[in-house]
Amino acid sequence: MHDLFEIGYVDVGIFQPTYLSDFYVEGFNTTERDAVLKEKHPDKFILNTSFDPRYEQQGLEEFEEKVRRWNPKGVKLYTAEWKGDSKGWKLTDEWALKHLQKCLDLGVTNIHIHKGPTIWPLNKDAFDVSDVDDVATTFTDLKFIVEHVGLPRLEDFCWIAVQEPNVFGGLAVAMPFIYTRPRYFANLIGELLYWAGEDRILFSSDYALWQPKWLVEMFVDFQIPEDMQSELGELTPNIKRKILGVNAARLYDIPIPEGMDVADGTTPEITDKPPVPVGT
Amino acid sequence: MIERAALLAALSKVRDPELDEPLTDLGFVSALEEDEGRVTARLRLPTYFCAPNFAYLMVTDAKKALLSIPGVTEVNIVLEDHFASDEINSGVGANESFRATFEGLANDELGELRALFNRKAFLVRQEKLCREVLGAGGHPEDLSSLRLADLPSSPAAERYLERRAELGLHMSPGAPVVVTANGTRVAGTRIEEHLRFARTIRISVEGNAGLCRGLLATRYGIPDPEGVTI
Repeated sequence: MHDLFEIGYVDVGIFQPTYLSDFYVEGFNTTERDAVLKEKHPDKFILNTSFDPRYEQQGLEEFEEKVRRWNPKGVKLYTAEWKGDSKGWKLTDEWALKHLQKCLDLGVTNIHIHKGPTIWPLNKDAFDVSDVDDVATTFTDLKFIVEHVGLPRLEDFCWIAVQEPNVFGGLAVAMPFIYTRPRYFANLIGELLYWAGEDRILFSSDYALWQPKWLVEMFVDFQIPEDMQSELGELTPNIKRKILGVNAARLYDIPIPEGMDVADGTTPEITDKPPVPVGT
Repeated sequence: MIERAALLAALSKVRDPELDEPLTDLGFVSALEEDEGRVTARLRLPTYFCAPNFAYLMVTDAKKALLSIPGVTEVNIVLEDHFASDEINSGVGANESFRATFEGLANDELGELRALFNRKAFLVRQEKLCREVLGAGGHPEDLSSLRLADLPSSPAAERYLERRAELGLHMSPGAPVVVTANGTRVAGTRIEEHLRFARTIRISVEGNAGLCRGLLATRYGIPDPEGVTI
């Protein structure tokens, strides 16, 4: 509470439950454990939940139960999670599609996806994200937030984002580059602004791996280096407001403090698809 | 006795499939020994969990490159400190296919993966060349009439032509310079967008290359060329 709300500039925190039950006996941070803190501070947290399609029908019923109990607006999915002999799953798997349909039916509209390395088959690109493209086309009323903006395959994320208006980029893990590699960070933000636009990029601190205090401070003070501005433009205060909070507030219906709201609509309209689908 | 320079020259032709840079420049070659035609090269990567498919490609390519040197009779490549070291070293040592090396974990060979990153690498080299040709004031559309015969003799042009030839695209002097990765000419009005996407790939690849160098430097206590600590 101290790190986030007393010194970290956070108004509302969003829990992204990650189970990793094969690695952590009690789970990494489960919905149940996150809920304890949420119940103590109901105004400070938004609680998301999760599902694993490999539990099939039983999992679907348990997921429905979780949604009824906590009424979450989002899920965090971790497709590279190991489970017994399985080394991961795809959003296009039969039971994953059934779970996404359930999300739609129950009003769980924000689908956060952490794409870890694909473990099987080994002959594919380890960070293949084509399943995100498929489900974003199928479920146009769901919002898909790709965590880590698809790194290390930024171009694949941008390619999907430009075609699918319901795909967003989350800056978890990408944010700290602002300190270690500021020019790379500037390029990263420049590409995201160009392809996804300022309305579809979300700040994330990945607390407790990183502390929001210095990330927020550095981002507020950050500017595209002068020699790169002719290509990448500038980061205006309004763009920063959107990335730091307004975009997430819109996804989660969080009231935006007086004077902080920013008009919508500067997402670039790309009518002509780029002619280079490298992956096909 | 084979000159060490000849061995290094052969290895400098082997590239990381994604970063499109020679293993020798990336610092991936940690040791190289030769004794009466028998060569042992040791390779190291930035992390224990680097993609095993890329690792396998680099190990097989290194073996092939060294075997192509006259006088080399036997090549042993040792991939160090990697979770799949044992599988890859014994698989490549026995000239086994990727599928056989990772039995049950792969359902195909690596041709498509290699081709995918070859296409990306080509587009990146093309974007760098176009930026050079355009200079400060030019407009991308001006490039629509550019033919291979018009190219300057510069490192960027050479690198572009090298990849272009590898992809099997037209190499005749009258062939257009700005093409998609499968060789189709890009119409003038679409060149800007085409190069814009290629730029995104470049940013991604350059970022990853910087990370890989930093991680390798930290892992093995060697200087990071960019001087940045991860």
